Amino acid sequence: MSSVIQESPLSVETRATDITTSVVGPMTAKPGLLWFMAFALAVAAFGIGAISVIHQLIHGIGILGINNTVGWGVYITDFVFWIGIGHAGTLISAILFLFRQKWRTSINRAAEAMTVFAVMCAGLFPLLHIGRNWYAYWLIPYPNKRDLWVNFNSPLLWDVFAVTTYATTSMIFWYVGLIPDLATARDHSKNFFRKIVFGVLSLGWKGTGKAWVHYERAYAQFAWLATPLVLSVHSIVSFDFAVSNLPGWHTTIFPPYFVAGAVFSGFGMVITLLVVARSTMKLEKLITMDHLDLCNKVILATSLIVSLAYLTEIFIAWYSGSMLERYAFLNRAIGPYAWAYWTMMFCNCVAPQIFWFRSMRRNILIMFIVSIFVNIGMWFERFNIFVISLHQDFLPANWNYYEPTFFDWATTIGSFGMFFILFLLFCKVLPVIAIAEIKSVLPDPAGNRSKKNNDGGNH
Amino acid sequence: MPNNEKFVAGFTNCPDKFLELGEHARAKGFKDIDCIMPYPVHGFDEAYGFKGSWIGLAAFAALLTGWVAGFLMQCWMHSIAYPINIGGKPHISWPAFIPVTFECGILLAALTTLGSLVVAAKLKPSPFLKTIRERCTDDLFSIIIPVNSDEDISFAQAFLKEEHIEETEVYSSKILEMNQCGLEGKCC
Repeated sequence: MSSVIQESPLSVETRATDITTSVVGPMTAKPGLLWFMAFALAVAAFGIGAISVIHQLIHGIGILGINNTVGWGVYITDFVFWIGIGHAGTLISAILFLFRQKWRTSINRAAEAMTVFAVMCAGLFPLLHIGRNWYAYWLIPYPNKRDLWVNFNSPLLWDVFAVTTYATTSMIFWYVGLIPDLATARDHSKNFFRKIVFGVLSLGWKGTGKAWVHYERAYAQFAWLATPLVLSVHSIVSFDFAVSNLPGWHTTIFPPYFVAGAVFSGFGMVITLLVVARSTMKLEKLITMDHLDLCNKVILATSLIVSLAYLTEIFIAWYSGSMLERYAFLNRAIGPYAWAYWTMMFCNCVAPQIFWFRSMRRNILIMFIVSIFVNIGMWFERFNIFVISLHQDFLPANWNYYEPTFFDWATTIGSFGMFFILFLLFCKVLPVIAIAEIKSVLPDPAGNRSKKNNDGGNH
Repeated sequence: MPNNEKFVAGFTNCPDKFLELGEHARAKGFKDIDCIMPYPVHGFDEAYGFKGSWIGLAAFAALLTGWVAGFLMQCWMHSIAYPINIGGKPHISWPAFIPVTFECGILLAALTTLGSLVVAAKLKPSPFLKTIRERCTDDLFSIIIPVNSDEDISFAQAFLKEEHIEETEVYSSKILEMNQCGLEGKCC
C-alpha cells in the first residue's frame, strides 16, 4: 500500500503558474488534426445511432432482437455498462478525496466528466427500451387524474430514483468543482466572448477567503454524499436482477460484485480516455506515468475481485444443490453463448494479469490494449448475465436464441458516438485538469526551491 | 462584508508567507481581515480567523428531511392515496421502501448543498467581472485589510512593509462586492 498512499507524483519544478498556462493554453488554441479526426468519427457514430433511434420511434421496438423469452438484450446491457463506466469517476472524485489521495487531483476532472457523460448515455437506454417513449414521464410519481402512483415495491422504480439522483448529484459535483477553474479561465482568456461566457459560468468567483471556507465545506459535503450514493446506485441496478428469482440472477453476491465490476470497467475507460487526452492535449507533465500506473493497479485489484466473484458464483451454484442453478451456470460455460462467456473470462480475468509487471503497467500501448479488453469484457459480463439467464427459461418450449439486430448495434455505436462527442468537446472548451486542486498539492508552488520540500505535509 | 470604504491589499505568491501574514495581521490587531486565494492553502481558515461554514449543518438537515419525507411519501401513496394489493404484500412493506428513501435524502442534501453554497459564497453569474489582479486566480495570494481613514491606510502599509511585502495597493471596497463589475478600478 505504501506506493499508493504517496505524495503527489508531480515534479518539484512545476509551479502554480505553469499549471494555469498548460491547462488554459490548450483551451484557447486551435484543436489539432487528431482532435478533428476523432470528432468526425464520433459524429459519424452518433449519426448512425440517431438514424436507428428515429427508425425505432417510428416502427417500435420490434426492430430490435429481443423476443418473448429474452426481453432484455443489448439495450439493458448498454444501460448497465454505461452506469458502470460512470462509477470510476465518482470513485476518483469522492472516495479518493475522502481518503486524501493527492494523486487524484490530476485525473479527477476528466474522470468526473466521464461520469456525467456516461450517465447521460446510460439514461437513454431504459427510456428507449420502454417502447412508447413518449410516456416515459409515467415513471415519475406525479398527481394524475386516475390517482395512480408508481409501484415502490419494484426494483425497476428504485432504479429510476437511483439513476436520476446519481445523474443530478454527479453533475452538481462536477460543476461545483469547475467554478474556481472557470474563474481562472475567465481571467486568462484574451477573447471577449470567452471572458463573458466564463464570467457567467464561474458565477462571479473571486476567491475571497470567506467564499473558500464555504466552498471547501460544500465540496467535502458532496464527497460525503457521493460516496454512499455511488455504492447504492450499482447495488440498486443489481437489484433489478437479484430481487427476481431467476437462476443466474437470484444471488446475494450481486450488489458488491456489480460495484466492483463497475469500478473495474470505469477504470478501464479512464485509462482509454486518459491515454488519448494526455497525448492529444500534451498533458504528459500533469498526467504522469505514475498516475497511469496507479490506475492500472486499481484495474488489477478490481479484476481480482471480479474474478473471485465469478468463481464464487460457480461454487455457490454447485454447492446450493439446486438443479436449476447448476444448469444456469453450466449453460454459461458450454451452452450456445459459451463464446460470450469465454470472451468475458479472458478479457476480465486473464488480460489484466499482465499488470503484475511494473514495466507493463507503465507501457502506454499495453495499457491501452488492456483497457479496451476490459471495456469489452465488462460489456459481455452484463450481456452474459442478462441474456444467458433468460434465453433458456423454466419451460423448454420457450427456449430461444437471442440475436441482436443491426438496430441494437447501431444504437450502441450511437451511444459511444454521443459519449465521445461530449468528451472531446469537454477537452476542448473546459479545464481538463482541476487547476485549483492540483495547485494545492504541488510540492513547490511558488518556485522558490531553496525552501525545504515536503516539510511534513499538511498537518 | 465589512462596512468600510477601502481596503489595502498585500500580494505574495508564496503560500507559507501568505499564512504567516494572516497570523501576524491578527496578532497586530487588524479586524475583519479577508484574503484572496487562487487555490486553497491548508490551514488558511485558522490563520485568517474565519468562522466555519454552516453548509454542513444545512446539508445534514436536508438529508434527514429527505429521508423522512421520502419514506412518508411512499407510505402515503401505497396505504392512503391508492392502497393497491401488490403480490399480497402489506401496504406499507417498508423494506422495499428503503432504497428510494435513501435516494430522496441524498438528492435533497445535494441540492441543498448547492443552494447553500450559492447563498453563502454569494455566487451570481457576472459576465463583466474583473479580479483586482489577473494573477489572483493564477498564483497570487493577497491579504485584504479593511481601512477607514488615511491613518489606517498608512498603518496597514507599514505593517505590510515590515512583513517584506513589496506589492501593495489600496482599493475601493466596492470592487470586492458581488455583481460590481469592478471596472471602475482602483481609487487612492
